Amino acid sequence: MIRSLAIVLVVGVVIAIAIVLPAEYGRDPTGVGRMLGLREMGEIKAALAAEAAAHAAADSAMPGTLARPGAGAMFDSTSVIVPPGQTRTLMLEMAGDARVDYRWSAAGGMVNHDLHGVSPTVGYRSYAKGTGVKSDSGVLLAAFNGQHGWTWRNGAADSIVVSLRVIGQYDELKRRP
Amino acid sequence: MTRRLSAILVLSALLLLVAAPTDLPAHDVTTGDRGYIQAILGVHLIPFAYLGAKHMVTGYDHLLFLLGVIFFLYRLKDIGLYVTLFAVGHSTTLLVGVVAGVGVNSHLVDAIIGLSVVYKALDNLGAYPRFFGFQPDARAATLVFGLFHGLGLATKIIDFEMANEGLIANLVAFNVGVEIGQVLALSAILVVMTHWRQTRSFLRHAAAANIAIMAAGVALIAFQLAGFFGGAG
Repeated sequence: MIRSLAIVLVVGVVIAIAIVLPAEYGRDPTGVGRMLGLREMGEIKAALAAEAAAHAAADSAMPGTLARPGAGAMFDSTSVIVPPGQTRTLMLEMAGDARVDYRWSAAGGMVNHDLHGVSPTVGYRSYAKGTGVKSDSGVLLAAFNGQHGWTWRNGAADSIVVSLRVIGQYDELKRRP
Repeated sequence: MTRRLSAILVLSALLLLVAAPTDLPAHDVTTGDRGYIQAILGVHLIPFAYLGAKHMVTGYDHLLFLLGVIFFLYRLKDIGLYVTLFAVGHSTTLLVGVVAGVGVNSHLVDAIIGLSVVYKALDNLGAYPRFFGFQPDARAATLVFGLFHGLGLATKIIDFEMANEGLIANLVAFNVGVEIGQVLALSAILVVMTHWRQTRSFLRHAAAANIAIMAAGVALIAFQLAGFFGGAG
């Protein structure tokens, strides 16, 4: 009786420490979570929770100062995970001279970034580039009809979560692997 | 004594309802499991298996039904058979439901899952021969209700808005995780049940326990129907 209950208890504690802790909170005392790819899940969840808390704090601290979408304006808030040594791209379908206000930040490390536009007629044009950057914000003015957006590269050993907020004139936010 | 036991069981069932983990939308940022799933791309087998197992272990509706199913099953062979029937049922509708995009109202599916709990508890109480004069096939019922439990899982996965890339692989991993979670939860339930069965109190309180399970099932149905008609959530 005592023995089987003790086994259940021990298994439960082991699962909680080795699996649940990394997967839910990104804490990985045993290293098992990292091996299984579960620590990454916890880190992303923690980053998203921090982002949500930051948004909520910003909204309550400065009511009304956040730009609200005007008529015909679009708004998106999204996150993308950039695995080590890889790139991820988010693009906005924009008309020439369209304007979008943006803000992004990287959680878990620094990224290299390239703000650029592409179209079949113009090809590729870079607006701004940077290396080892934690966050950036500003105005994206589309120089031509096409897709305009960000490519982030992660040169570090751990995954990085980039959170992006955009507001302005565009048709669609597209995710390119 | 019996009354106290059933009161405890009903109370714990209600506590489970209140303490049920939910991914509340915080402002405009999607957090929790849903946020994670939307932030990743491609095949992630072990993380999705984890999410499947988590869903099962924290899914008190599935666990209550399982508890009802194994309540009077003593032989390991029978337990294996019924749990397999349940697994075949929910795996089928989980995979087919998500791939075909069968979006059923989650409140209605969850109400039917609550009904499966009530059904099984009544079955354990011997209600069908007594009131209707016949005993429905318990194996068929387990399979059919398994199909509904899978539909409930599928509805929740559709709500996660998983990316199309690697969907099938991630889905199968999620399903494997559901089965792992089921084995883990079942093991814990069986350890407690086995000890309880060895005491005299088991037969004395078995009816009360099933009434408590039924009460929890009725609470689940009421909760979900209120959500369906009230539009809450």
